[in-house]
Amino acid sequence: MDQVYIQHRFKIEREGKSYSDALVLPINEYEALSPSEIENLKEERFTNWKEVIENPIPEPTKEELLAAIDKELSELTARRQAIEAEPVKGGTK
Amino acid sequence: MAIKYAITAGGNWDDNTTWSTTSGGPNDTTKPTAADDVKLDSNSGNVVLNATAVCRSLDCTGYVGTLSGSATLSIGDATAGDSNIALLFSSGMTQSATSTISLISTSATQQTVTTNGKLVRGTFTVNGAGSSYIQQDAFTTASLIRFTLTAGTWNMSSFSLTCDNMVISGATTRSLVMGTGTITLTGSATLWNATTTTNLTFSGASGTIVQTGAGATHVFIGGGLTYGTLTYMVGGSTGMDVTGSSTFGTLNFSPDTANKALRFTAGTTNTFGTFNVAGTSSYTVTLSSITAATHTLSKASGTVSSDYLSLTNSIAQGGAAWYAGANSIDNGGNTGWIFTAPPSPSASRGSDKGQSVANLLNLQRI
Repeated sequence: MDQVYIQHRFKIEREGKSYSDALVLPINEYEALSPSEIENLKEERFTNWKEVIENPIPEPTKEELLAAIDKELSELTARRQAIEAEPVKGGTK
Repeated sequence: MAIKYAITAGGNWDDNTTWSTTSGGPNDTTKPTAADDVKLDSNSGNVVLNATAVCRSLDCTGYVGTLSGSATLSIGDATAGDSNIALLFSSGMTQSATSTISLISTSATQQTVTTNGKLVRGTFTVNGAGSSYIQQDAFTTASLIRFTLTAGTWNMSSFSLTCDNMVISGATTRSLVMGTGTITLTGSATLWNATTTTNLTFSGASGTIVQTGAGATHVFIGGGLTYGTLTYMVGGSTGMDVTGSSTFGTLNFSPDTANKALRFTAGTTNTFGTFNVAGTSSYTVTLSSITAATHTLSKASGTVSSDYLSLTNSIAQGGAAWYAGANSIDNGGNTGWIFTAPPSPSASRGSDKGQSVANLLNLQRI
């Protein structure tokens, strides 16, 4: 039997921001929540979302990008050397 | 087609021993194929996306474990997932996977995407020819993560969608339905890319696009589409370039902590219902073209009431009265702008709806 869900839509408009979300829960889980717990869940969603938009990770610098490429090159080189060091599989023609 | 549950001990997605045909059962099957519905439920342990993975759907209802790893996950085949679920994260799980997630169903049945407040931490692509997906709640990616719509329909169902940047450019049949939802773009470069709109159906006239990222100049490639509200209100960015000839219900652009530049591609005509672009006594908005030629701004009627603009190569037309304001600077190449305050003392700067710049800042400050 299909799981039955409750979709509780909500919108929070605060601090110049508008956030539209929903709590989507199996009906038994939803019905077990008190009104204050539901409000807390909404607040938690908004707070987490606000954190994402107010504190996005900055773009990597040129130095960070080059370091990441160097690291990847180093790993690939080591992998290539390991493969080259393996004995050749299969027989001769 | 089968349902495959991750076993209680969990394990690597790519290992056959991780999977069971029953919830909480023994590992009695093989790893999921593209035809299988994957269930991570209350009896499932931690699962690692350790190698390229496929499934028809991923349903994490009741899951309290951790989904981790970084291998690509492709979801979908020619038929809809169980219960028409494409992807469902549970509120109790830990979603730390940084995998690229691609929705690739070719079923026309509308399938649901529910993230329950969990961040999508890898590039997210909708690329199923003829597919149809609908958000069941807000959809948010982690920083620096792009949302790409390549093929199929993505319906926001008026929920929020937040990502670093969004790409809807392409040639395959695809649709983006915003409803009254808000797309928040947190990135710092090209934030909106609608360069090629071939076979694109865009229903965004009632939606809102907000830019919150820092960085240098944000680029909004409008692609000639019709938008609802576009709001730029970013302290850390130097401004915004708008390319293409598009239509905006409302454009909100104001400086907060520094001078800002708003530039349009030369030769384009952008049309506005409301043009809320104004500087302040502290910070100017430089309004010009990206290259040394004119652009055109059009508004059919009413009054545009700006101030503290530094204007170059800007043609204002369409029937509205375009007041640049008494404190704006005419650098040449401008047509149609009136460099005085609007005649009515009751008209407020920065809005043709009588909303002051200060109020606008308060309402939209990020």
